[in-house]
Amino acid sequence: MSFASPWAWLWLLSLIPLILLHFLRRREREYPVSALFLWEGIRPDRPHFLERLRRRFDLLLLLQVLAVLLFSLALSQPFTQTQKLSGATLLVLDGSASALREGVAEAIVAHAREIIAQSAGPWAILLWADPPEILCDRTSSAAEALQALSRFRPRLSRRPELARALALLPEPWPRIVVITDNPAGITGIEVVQVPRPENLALTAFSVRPSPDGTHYEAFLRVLNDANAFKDVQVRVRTGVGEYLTSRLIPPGEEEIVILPISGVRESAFVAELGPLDSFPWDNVRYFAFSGGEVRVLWAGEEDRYLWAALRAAAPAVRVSSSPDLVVAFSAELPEEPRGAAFLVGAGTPGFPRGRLREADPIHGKAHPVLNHVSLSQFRVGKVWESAIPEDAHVILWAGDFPLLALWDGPYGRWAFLTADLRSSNLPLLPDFPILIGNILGWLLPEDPPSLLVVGEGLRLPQGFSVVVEGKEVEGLWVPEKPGIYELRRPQGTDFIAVNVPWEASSPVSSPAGALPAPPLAQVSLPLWPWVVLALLPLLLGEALLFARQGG
Amino acid sequence: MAGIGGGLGSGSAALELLTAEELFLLSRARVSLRRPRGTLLGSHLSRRTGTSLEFADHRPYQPGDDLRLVDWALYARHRRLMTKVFSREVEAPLYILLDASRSMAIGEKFSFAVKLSAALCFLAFRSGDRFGVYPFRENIQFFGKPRRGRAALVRAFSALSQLYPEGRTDFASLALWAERFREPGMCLVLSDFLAPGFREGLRALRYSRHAVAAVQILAPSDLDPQIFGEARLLDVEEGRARSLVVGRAAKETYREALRRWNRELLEACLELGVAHFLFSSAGSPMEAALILAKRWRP
Repeated sequence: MSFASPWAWLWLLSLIPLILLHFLRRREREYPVSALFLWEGIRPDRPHFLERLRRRFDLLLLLQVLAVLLFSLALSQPFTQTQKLSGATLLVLDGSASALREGVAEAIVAHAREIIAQSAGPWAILLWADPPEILCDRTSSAAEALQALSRFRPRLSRRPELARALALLPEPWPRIVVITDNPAGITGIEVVQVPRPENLALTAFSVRPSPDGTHYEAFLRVLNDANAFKDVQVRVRTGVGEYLTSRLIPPGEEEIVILPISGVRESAFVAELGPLDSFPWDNVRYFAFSGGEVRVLWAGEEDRYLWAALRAAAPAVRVSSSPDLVVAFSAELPEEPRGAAFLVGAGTPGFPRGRLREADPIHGKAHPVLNHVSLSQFRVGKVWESAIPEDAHVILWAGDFPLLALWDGPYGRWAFLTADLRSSNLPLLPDFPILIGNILGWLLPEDPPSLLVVGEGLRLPQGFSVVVEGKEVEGLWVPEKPGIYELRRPQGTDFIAVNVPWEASSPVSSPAGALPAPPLAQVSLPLWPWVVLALLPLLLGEALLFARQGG
Repeated sequence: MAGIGGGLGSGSAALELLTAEELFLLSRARVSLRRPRGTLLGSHLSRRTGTSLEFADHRPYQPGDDLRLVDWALYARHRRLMTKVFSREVEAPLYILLDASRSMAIGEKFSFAVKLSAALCFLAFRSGDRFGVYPFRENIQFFGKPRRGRAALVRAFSALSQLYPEGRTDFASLALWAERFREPGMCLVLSDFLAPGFREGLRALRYSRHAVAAVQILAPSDLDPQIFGEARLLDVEEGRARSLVVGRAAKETYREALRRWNRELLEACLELGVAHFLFSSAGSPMEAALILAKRWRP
């Protein structure tokens, strides 16, 4: 404890006259007696000095001394010093779908409260969700910041780029703390990781025709994000039938489940995973075929897997002229294709495909074409050293070499996939038809995509509408819940499948490297209000005692 | 309550002074005189002969005696005509002389005395005797002659409940009272007797042929004052004060002075044939009344 005004202790000197006056004051007490003559002739006693002192040192004097002590203490302005983290703190709370797991949101808020209590302020709080939101603008009031935490509500959408959230409060922040359950992709920023409960999830679901064209196949990827083996049941509903299977999934692993589906082609599918857990949103996933027909001119070698993935993405038909899309597989085209083109290990005179080379690990960056796709599952053995236009947008890399590039060139929209499909696992992944569907959606943007995630906005073309809870929505539509939605178009009716983002179910990545501890600041906690609070009842008691003793 | 109190009204002053339990305690006690000198018929057996049912003696038959009073059994044994003589029952008025000076206010002495007076009045009422309460200070209040009955009891209680201690004690006023009330009776003086002149007052009462009891009531603070240190002792009657440092020795000296004073009172009582009773105001007035009824045999 320190004192801001230590000279105020001089007030203690007032105790000297107080005590002197107390002992010098004549302290006779009046006693009424029945007969004074009985007291006549009695010689006064001389009680022992210490006895008189004891008699005179009464409770009132003690209270007066205490009052002067507290008064001096209050005037000296005592305070204690505590160490708190200095500088302004920006709290970024992960409000993506994964925070909806049981206990995660509460843990995030608890950590935020703790950080506010331990830092000196000012503070600001951001909700890191899609769209990001300022929960509390820069404030020096801890109470205001704590109150803003009550508005923290995670959403079912994925979280956008962290930079997009931080752009809402662009001023420089000495300290940024991200509180999340998954610190994947966060570098250079202080991260507080909250634990996640165990989870079973369907992280991918797609349906495609079998390569031999005899039936359909449902592709599912099941994640066991728990510490024990889990016996899971997978069920796919097609509208006319149900297909069941079960698997024993090792802890912390993902397994691909392929379910053959016989019968007629359906438009929408629902996959369910049992048993349900504390985050049921990712125990169900939806898939829908695109409705618009795509006329494909196939060039180069045949590939049944690519063709099956194309047919899963859209009702593709082969044509020899006037195509909507040119698909070239493992070939050198004699001339530049006109219009939309999908070059898979293929080259053109202007952009030859080069030679095969060993592929390095795959990495990419966020892009709508990669929506619903988990890159961690991709394995590519070799890539073609294709020439890529300089102004092409590379969204996937195999080491330093482009793996998937998008080019909006003078001939139309082209997509370059340089992977050698026969040396990769892509055709066997449930993500592959989704990736092909996303590429088709970029190449032929006229048709709305058939797969969306919650929070992903879709601008519907003229004449298109989506039925949401019995009402038709036109123009911009942002789905808020997973499910199968009816898409009404001039040619007929199709379906759009909306899922929670797979990132919500992805396994936890290891946290970023430890950052140097932020600087500490000494914060003074004044104690004088407590002293004054103690002084008040003391003075009251003293007044009562004084009145009781008859002044 | 009605049976015990002889029909006292519930709103009467008796209820304020004595509770139902206290009235019940007193209902079987009575104060009686060994030698009542009253003339009116009452409940006290007199030595004079009369017409009560209490047999007193025989005397030789004289012509004119009522033949019903001849003891025929005695005649059969001794062949002598003897007439039976019976005692006479007379009443004895109860006079309560109550010290109402300011010194009685110390230590609940006055309220003790008032309750004791009320209890004694009730005893007299139950015995069918006349009674009267006469407060005295520098002078005495003459509330008239003693009376019997329910109305007198209510009146006495009402007067008692309106009394308050004030003024100085002057035992000379007892002599004035004795000159006025010459009919012999039971005379109780309720006081702390902490004032000079009590001997003259008691003597005047005795000379008027009253049976007198000095009922001394002292407070615990009179007996053992809780005074220590520098004290200003204020005489409540005279207004005089004295500053004194009171310690153990001073208190012992005071207690000795009080013992000496009481010894003088006791000697005066023995000399004058006055009964002396000492009660502490911390005790029960009802208990004091029962002790008086049982142990005072004038």
